[in-house]
Amino acid sequence: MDLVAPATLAAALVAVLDPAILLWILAGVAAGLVFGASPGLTATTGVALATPLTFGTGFEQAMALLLGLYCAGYFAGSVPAILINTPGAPGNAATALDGHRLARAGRADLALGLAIVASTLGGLLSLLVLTLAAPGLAGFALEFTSVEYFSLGLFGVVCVATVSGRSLAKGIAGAAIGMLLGAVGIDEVGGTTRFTLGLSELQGGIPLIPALIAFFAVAELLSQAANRAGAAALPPQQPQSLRGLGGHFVRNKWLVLKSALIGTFVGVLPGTGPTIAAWLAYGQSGAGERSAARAEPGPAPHPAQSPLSEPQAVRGVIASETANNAVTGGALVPLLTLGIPGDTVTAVLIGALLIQGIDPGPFFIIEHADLFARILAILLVSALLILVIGLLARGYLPRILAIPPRILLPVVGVLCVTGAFAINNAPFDVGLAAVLGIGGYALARFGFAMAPLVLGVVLGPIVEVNLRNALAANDMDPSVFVTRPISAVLLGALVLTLGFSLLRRRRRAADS
Amino acid sequence: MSDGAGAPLVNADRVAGATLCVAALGVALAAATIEVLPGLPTLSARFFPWLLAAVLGASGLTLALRPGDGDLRETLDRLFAARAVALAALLLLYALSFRHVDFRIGTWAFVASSMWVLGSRRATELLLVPALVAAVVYTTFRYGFSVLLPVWTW
Repeated sequence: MDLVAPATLAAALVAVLDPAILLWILAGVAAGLVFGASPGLTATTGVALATPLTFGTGFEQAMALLLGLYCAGYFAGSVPAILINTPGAPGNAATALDGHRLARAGRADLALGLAIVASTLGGLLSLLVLTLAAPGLAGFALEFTSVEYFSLGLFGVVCVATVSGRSLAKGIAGAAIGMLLGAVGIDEVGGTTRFTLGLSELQGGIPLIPALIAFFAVAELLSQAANRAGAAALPPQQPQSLRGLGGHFVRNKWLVLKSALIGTFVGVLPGTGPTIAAWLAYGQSGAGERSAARAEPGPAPHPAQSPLSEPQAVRGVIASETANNAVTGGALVPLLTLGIPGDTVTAVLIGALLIQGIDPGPFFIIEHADLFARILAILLVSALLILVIGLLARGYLPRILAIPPRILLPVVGVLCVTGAFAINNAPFDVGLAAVLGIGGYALARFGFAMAPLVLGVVLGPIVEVNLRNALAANDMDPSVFVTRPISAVLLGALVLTLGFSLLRRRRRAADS
Repeated sequence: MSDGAGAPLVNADRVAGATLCVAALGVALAAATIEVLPGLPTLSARFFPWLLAAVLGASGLTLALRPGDGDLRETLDRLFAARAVALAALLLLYALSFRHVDFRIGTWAFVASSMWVLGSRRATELLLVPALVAAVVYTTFRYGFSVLLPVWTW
């Protein structure tokens, strides 16, 4: 399939530059800054809560709000990471190491500036990959049968189960629970009813958006209520000139490119996300040198208090934030070409696209090239808005942290309940979201990550239906999953992923 | 994950693992009651739930036999933290009464009581912030997004 025509892209850009659409993007970016910068409330929470709001809007408005929130939310998690050593989201944890070191040395303005520019560059470079790679991949995906979809869906579930949390068993159990929730309702293949507990409201299955609100917003909200965090005061800060900021990026241009490629590649892998991308990029930014330095005799200092080498800290922040935001474009590639989410936010975006009557998959770009181009244009404008707003407002960003949890958490609770209701005007969904959210909170307290659970809800039906259809189409011959080359490669990658994960955990256990 | 050799008999992971095993058994039994259509040219509707029950059981067994170092008391203390439990109860009450109570009144009551649970003690804050939140959310959803929220007619 050809690339999207330049005229289509230009028309999309003109449409997106309409003041009304710009306002929606601005609202999304502003909401993303608040959700991303509030420790514990992530971009995923924000997108899950905002998705029901798009029910009465058009495609452009919906995507403008959600993609603006997505991009800004991924960046803004770096604000509390830098200022109070508390990552706004797991993807910003690597930023906290060097970003907070800089802040403690009076260089918070530099660290925030680096995070803003690195996030923008990461977003723009991954957007380029999305523009160039997605149309070709969509054409390739047309060759996919239920055999490949089954293998890809299973690969996505296993990927997220292996990278989420410290325990592989908990990751796999979480994914299985999610897939069981996805199996509730009328069986798509045979038409029989499963696990509905006699409730007619469950015959259509567990509704996706209330479930996402439950696991990402309600569970987080309760976890935040249980935690009491305190922030240490920072020393007086030095302002950072834009020129000096630019100099850092010129000196580290190859690091930016490498980190953006890592972030985009990790984003493309179904079921992964910014956390692994940020740590991978951080690791290749010079963390090894730091480890060697720390290997000297004597007790190791706390990471945030260890001696600062400013160029190294700058490289750490640039690498982790570039990769973190490069995931956004990468994660949209499998979503828009295969209908498989690349990360947790794109899992939520599936619901948003379905609200707009769009079924994400290989035909999306072919049949809706104009809408695909608008998504690209919205991502471009969002990345640039983050740059402009971020640089202009970086002195004020710390104030987001001043919203007291005693006000923020009840407001999020209201949005959870109202959002769960608004999607189908169904009071049953409200109760369901509350019950699932409390269950998710209990699982989280026992160390179960929410990402495998949610990916299980989304990918479970895809895996099951395609498994059964593939077997039906091939006379119940299971060897078809290893004789078709793409499926064989995916299943091989799945086995390798599981093997490496087990090996890594055994090594870690042996070291400790 | 530790090898579990040094973990105490009652440990957070062991309890989670045992719970998963019981849940897996429950799922397997429930799946056995799913109707099976004769002549379906592929796996029955029971197969996938049974497979997932087996995965759940195996994961539970792994956790129970090779637990990490999670202390049960600490985990339960975190799970039943007073503020979280109170907020969960309020949220559940708000959600279950959603269809019966005027949205503006229910929202005001939920926000005010949640703020109190989370440490707010100033009367003006407890009166004004919930009223503002209820008004803004109601107006946004009702008139911005045309969502018919439950209201009492007087």
